[in-house]
Amino acid sequence: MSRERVLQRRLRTLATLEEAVGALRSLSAQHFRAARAPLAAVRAYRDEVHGFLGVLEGSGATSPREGPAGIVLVAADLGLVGDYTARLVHEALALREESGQGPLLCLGQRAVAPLAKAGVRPAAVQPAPTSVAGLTSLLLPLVDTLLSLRRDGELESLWLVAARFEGAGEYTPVRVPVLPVAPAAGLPRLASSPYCGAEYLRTVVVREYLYVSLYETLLEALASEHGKRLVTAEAARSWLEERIEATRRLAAAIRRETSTQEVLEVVVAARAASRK
Amino acid sequence: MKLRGEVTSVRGTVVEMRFEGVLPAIGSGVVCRPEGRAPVTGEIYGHNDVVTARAIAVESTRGLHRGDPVESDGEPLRVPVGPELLGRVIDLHGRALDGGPPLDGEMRAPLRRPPPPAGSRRASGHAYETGIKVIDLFCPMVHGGKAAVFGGAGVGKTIVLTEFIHNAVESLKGVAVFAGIGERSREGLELWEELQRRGVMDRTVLVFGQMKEPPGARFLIGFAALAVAEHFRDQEGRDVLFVVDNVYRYVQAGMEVSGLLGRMPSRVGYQPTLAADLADLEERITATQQGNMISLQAIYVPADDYSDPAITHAFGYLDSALVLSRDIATEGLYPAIDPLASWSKALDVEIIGRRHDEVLQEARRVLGRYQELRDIISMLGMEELSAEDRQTVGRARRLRNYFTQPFYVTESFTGQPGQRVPIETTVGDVAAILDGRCDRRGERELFMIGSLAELAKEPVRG
Repeated sequence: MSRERVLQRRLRTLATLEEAVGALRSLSAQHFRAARAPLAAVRAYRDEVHGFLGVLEGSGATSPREGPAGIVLVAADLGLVGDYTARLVHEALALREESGQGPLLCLGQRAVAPLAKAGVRPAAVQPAPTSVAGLTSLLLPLVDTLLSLRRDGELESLWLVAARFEGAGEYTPVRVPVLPVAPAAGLPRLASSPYCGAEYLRTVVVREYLYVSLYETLLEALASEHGKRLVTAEAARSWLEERIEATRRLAAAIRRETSTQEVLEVVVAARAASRK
Repeated sequence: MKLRGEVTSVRGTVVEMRFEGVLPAIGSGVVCRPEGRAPVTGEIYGHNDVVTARAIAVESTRGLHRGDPVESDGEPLRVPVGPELLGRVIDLHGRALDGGPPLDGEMRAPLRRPPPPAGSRRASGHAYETGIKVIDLFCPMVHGGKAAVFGGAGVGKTIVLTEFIHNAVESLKGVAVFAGIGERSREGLELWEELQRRGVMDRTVLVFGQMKEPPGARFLIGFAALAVAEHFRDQEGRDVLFVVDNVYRYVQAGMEVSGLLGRMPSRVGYQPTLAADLADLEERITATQQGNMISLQAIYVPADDYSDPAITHAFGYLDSALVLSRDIATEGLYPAIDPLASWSKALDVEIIGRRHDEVLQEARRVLGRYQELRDIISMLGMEELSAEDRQTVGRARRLRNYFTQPFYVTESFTGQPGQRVPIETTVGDVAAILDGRCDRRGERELFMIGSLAELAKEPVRG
């Protein structure tokens, strides 16, 4: 196959890749916006639930008990995010080292291999969320699992290890303490009700608090992941643009050489014909 | 001694002629004198045999016959030179195109001559201050240097060239010589009117060989303008700004001449003497011990292909390149010079100094980062960036606005008086913006100003 044809094919491949990366970038932007939009409302709701816990119990704090610390690691299942998962795994392992050998629940298959390499086997593995729409179906069973672990005494405290959003493409792996619930400041205690027992209310509100805290953390993690993917896709697109430009230049140079050759052949033939 | 002969063949603008005895040397001018018609001038390009020479006419050969008398003094073609040319518009022969009185002065200079010897050239050691902020910071010019202006139609190439002429004439206390090669006649007329309006025409000479001229004339017009400029530089010791619009048309004319002469074409059909032709013109554009010469050249890039042989050869002679960007022009940021795509060989700490170099590198970093983030900002908005990126983008935007500048030549359109900004002020102002000293000021405050000293004491957000 001629070099020119090879370059034309390469150009087509690069253009297709550029389209694909462009689409990926747009998708990431959409997921990013979807994750960022409800955050303020979710935070406000979490504060409200926290406050209600305070009203129930005076400060809202759940009583600290000695026991193993559970960890929920929120990683990513999709690529093009650089060392996103590796950094989070590193943070989770460091926390586990400090807080004892409690159960580690892992959101994201990609984290399993690096955890196994460090000798850690997750108590449960679930797929990582890829969009806001999938959060609810993921969270409900997760919260139930966590609460049952707590009921069974397998975890007394709970940490979330996830990415904290710090601007598009920027994030930091953080540890978020969820249980025991941190105390809320100076709230009056709720009077007892004949319709609903305090213990039942506490169970429901702690469950809600756990749910909304996880939801908020997962939203931040989603925004961080898609922000990172967006920036990576943008860099990939720029690189592809440069490659396309360089390939075009190369193809143009080869075309020039071909046309020069043709011109020379025509001129030489014309001269030879005129000599006859 | 006049050499006399007669026309033996005319094919297009290729004229063959037989001389009695000695043939005029290669490069000599010849004049064919058809009976009852205007004479036709040409230049000797070859000797076919001991009595026949081949010339390329620099005027239309319409009306020329075999047998018409030909004469030559054996000297190259000449063009009038001297101070009486200032304020005038002339063609290849020195004929007035501006409707003014004919130029029949004594002084005439040959179009073709060797470049100045190395010993009489002046080394280009220091930067030449244009007074245009973005140029002085990102792509400074040097005395005796050559800069090219790249850009498509409608991005402000002519405005930049005209402002350049204005500032050079003002600051150098010298003269400007403009070589219009193979471009549209309308553009030449507009330039002439603009220079008259700006009051700098009295220190400018326009030499035109536009599209309608035969290839021989377009090929030589650059040399004619150069002969005029060299006179000002070497004989009158004046500083000269030599502006060429357009170098590619010179190459194109050379290609046509080469084809007419039946030479074997070289790469992409260019003349085999492409490098030598460019060297003939470019090597003469230099500063000498007698006077300074700075050159600004517009270069058309065919199909935006910078690897075209003509462009790669032309690049070798350039000291800096100003790239005008359509995207920047669309945003209304004039001059629309792309600071990241433009470059200069003068960006050397030895020439520009350490402080300028540091400020330049940081400005490039900030503008480069802004360039990377632009698409992300358009998708997500500024508020989704990290604090550091937001700060970088804010400063980059202020920088871009700061690099706009009211021009003298656009006063009548903008109503704003033109501004020249000394290079030290530009460097200091850019350092201030990069240090965050303008962070509290609105971005619009920095739009179309000269220096930061013009800003109101109290910042205005916007």
